[in-house]
Amino acid sequence: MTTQEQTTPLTRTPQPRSQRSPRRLIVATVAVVVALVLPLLVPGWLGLLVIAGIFFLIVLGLNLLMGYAGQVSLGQTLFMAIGGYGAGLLTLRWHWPTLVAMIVMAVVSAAVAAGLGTVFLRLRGYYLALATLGLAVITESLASGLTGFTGGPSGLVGVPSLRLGTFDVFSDQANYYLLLVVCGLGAWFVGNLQRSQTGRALSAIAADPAAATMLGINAARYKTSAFVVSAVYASLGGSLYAFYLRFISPEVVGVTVALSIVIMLALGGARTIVGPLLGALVIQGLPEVGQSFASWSPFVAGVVLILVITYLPRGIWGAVKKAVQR
Amino acid sequence: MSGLIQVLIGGLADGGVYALIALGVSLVYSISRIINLAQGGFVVLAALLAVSIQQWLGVPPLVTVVIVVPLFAVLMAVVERLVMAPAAARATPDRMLLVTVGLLQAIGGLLLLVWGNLPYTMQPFSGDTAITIGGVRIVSQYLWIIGALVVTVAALWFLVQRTSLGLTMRATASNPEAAALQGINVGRIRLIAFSLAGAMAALAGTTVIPATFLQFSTVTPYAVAGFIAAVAGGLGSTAGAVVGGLVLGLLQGLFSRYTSGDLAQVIAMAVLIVLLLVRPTGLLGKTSEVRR
Amino acid sequence: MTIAVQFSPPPRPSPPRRRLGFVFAALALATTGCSASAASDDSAYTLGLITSQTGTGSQLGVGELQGAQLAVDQINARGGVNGKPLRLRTADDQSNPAQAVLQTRKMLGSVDALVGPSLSGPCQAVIPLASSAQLIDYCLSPGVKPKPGSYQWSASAPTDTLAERLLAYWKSQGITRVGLIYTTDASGLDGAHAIQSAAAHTGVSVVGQASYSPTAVSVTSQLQATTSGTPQALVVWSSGAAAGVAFKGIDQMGLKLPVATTDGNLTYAFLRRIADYTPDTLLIPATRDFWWQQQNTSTQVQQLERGYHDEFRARYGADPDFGPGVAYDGVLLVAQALEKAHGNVAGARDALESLRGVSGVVGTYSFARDNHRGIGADDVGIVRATGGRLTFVGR
Repeated sequence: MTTQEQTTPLTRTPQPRSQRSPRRLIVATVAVVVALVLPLLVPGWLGLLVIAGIFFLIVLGLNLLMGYAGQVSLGQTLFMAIGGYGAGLLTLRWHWPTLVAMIVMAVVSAAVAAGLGTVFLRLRGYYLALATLGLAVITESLASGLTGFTGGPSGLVGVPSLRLGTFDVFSDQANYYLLLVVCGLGAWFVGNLQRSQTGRALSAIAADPAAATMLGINAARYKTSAFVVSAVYASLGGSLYAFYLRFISPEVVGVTVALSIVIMLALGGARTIVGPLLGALVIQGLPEVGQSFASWSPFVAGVVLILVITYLPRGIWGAVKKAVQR
Repeated sequence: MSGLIQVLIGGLADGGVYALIALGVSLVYSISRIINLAQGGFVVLAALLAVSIQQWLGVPPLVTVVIVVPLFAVLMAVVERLVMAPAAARATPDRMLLVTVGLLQAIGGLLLLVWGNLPYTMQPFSGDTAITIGGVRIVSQYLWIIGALVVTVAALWFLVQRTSLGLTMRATASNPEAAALQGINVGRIRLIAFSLAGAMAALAGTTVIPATFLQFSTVTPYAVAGFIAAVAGGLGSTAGAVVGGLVLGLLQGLFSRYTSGDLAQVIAMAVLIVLLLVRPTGLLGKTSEVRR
Repeated sequence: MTIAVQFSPPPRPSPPRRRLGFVFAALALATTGCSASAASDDSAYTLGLITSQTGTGSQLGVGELQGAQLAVDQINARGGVNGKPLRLRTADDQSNPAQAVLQTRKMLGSVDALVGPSLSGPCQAVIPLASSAQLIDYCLSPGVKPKPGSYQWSASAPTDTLAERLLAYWKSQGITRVGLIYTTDASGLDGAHAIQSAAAHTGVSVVGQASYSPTAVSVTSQLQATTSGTPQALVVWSSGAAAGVAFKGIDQMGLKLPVATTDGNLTYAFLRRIADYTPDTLLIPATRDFWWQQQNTSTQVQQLERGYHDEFRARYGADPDFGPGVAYDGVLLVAQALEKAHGNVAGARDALESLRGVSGVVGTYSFARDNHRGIGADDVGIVRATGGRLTFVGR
């Protein structure tokens, strides 16, 4: 996860396998195996793992924008809504194949992000945060207000499951393995990007925009690209969420969700791949684990967030890594 | 015509509360560069606490102001020392925003634990009285809200412009590092700023609760409205916070009167975003640090 | 292999080869797409009860859990269902549709029928799952409209009937011009729609209307819009804090009009809370469990209602309100259907559809393929709320 070990710059291809340490390979194999058998070990928690996987995907995209390019977006729910409502409507009303609907809406999200990005990303710091928070509020209000289109506050009911060929991805297991593949690809892409020239350019922009510009980095273009990629991730996540829940409503893409996505990233640890996964698991798992102390869980979540942001600057995963290295 | 004026008066009363929240956000920002999203949460906490105090002690509602305002001045100072200062010493401004989100969530959670899922209210300060001028009815509590805003602005102006403490505050606001080099105890100034913001939150909470019902879920609308008013008015500007709050209240009132509730929300946000893009320093802001 | 390094936290060291069999088993399971199957336990019937114990819906959900538990205990005391005990498996959806889906997915395969969730949003979210598992779902929110022949049922009286009863009552009192104010959530929009269509039937006109956000803290503008057409009465279709805000606004604007509100506000905790600000006349359309004592009903109904009210009071120390009633009936009805279908989960839907004239505490249910609610206009009366108490005023 560090850039220092990189010896050949200006390339987006991953390092040749021979350069990897054998220990890493073993860890990788074991991780894949555990991921594959997890459904057998904890069958009761599969639903949680599926939801956490969906948010992992969304947070991974935000990681690129926020972690690497340093641009805060509190409005990722806009793209979740485009992906979720778009795919839901295309399949329900016009009977499009689910996979096609999902991909088309990801392209639409990319276009919307490209358009918004050129305007919004000129703002910085709190002002970008505020403008994107505005997007999140607008998203929820439109989802609720365009009753004829979105089904209003009661939501869009009876969205079909994702269909791959002749197979309906309905069960928790099927969704889990699907997400394993999708998240794996998503993580692989972000992982390679962070080691590439693009990743370093993004980091340079985050660290010192003026210096980055002097080095000939087109900051606006890089930031917009990161925004577009994050939008595609959020859109795919939104579509998969709608296909899994078979339902989407304004609450699913509400302001609370928009905030929780940013929280997942900060909690787990930005600029890593494992961090977003941990963040998604903790935030999605808390209400699940807290069934018995549900009335305490909002308070506990708030306190945990304060403590982690204050005392674990690199998130939970950063703290774990540090402890292991020591 | 009187109908329109009635709408505007309601909007002004709402806007007065937003302005009080925005004032606290803006003051804290100018001294510490922290945007405290939880300010709106403290308003609801103060309001529900006032209701409980009023019930326990059986005192007139107005007396709760005298109890809750000093209490929150102390509470916010404690929050600064326990939460804000340790976090600000370690976290970047972006992450500080998340710390205040966490604080907001913790306050909402605390409200749910202590006061439960029920709406609360209190008797108006001067009873159920109202003034009627030309068919327009002005509830006495609205006058208390506007009065609280006026008193706060006047007191803040006096403090900042006419006292030596105000001078140090201004110096800290314009450049904290330079102020520290000159021997100003920046930590103490921050403590005072947070303490004042706590008093403002308490004033807002205790004066608004008799005019409405509040409960744990009301923290987010207040937090968002206060944040928007502070930024739209121009962070760090007292006049900006007041204008931002009042304009936001008026806009919400007008749009709710003539369009649907959801559409009003969308339009208010769209106006805000356009404002940010066209005039990024806010209505009355002076800083030029918004765009790259 | 690069994927996994980044994908998972470092796992506990374990010999990979021994796990390989599990991997294939897992993959096989995944590809067969194991769908929900019937309940596995034959020694008892299990009802899955999903309610909102936290969040905005908890005002209803907490009482619903109590009502359902009472019903289950009474059924078991009478010998259970087909001689087998009835069990309750409960979950909290935290008033959130996504949580409701997660909790339902967990229950699929281990319950014989579903009761809940408490709110219409979560109910809508749950129904595709219940349908694909062929489980009946008795949704406790009156806000959904089950499709004929579907697996979804809906509790209490339909919103259209409540609205019609209310306007018909006002018409009989000489009120023909009403103003309407409602929240932009599912129940508010549903209620507004019902009032508008009921107005057309009953010859009452809606002379002004406005909507507001459920989290609004002031509704002066909306009340201004509502009263601009000089109505003789106001309908406030919102519940909880939002309704409180509207009542307070009505009080502050000095409006002395009669006000009506939705049955979603029929909780004593809420009525006591707003007691000081309740409009002089506050009317609520209510089902039988709120006015059975003040009307002549059959001895059998009186007995049932008394048994339910007395036992509820004895157990929980409070009068049952909206939530306990719908959940009590929900459990009663679903248990009857399971009994009739002899525990055949798939047959429970037809059994429930064939129930006619079954007395519950909310009303007398007669279901049909195209009537998954069963409550009619006869079970709706108008009650007046004063100081946290309810009195019957007419039908």
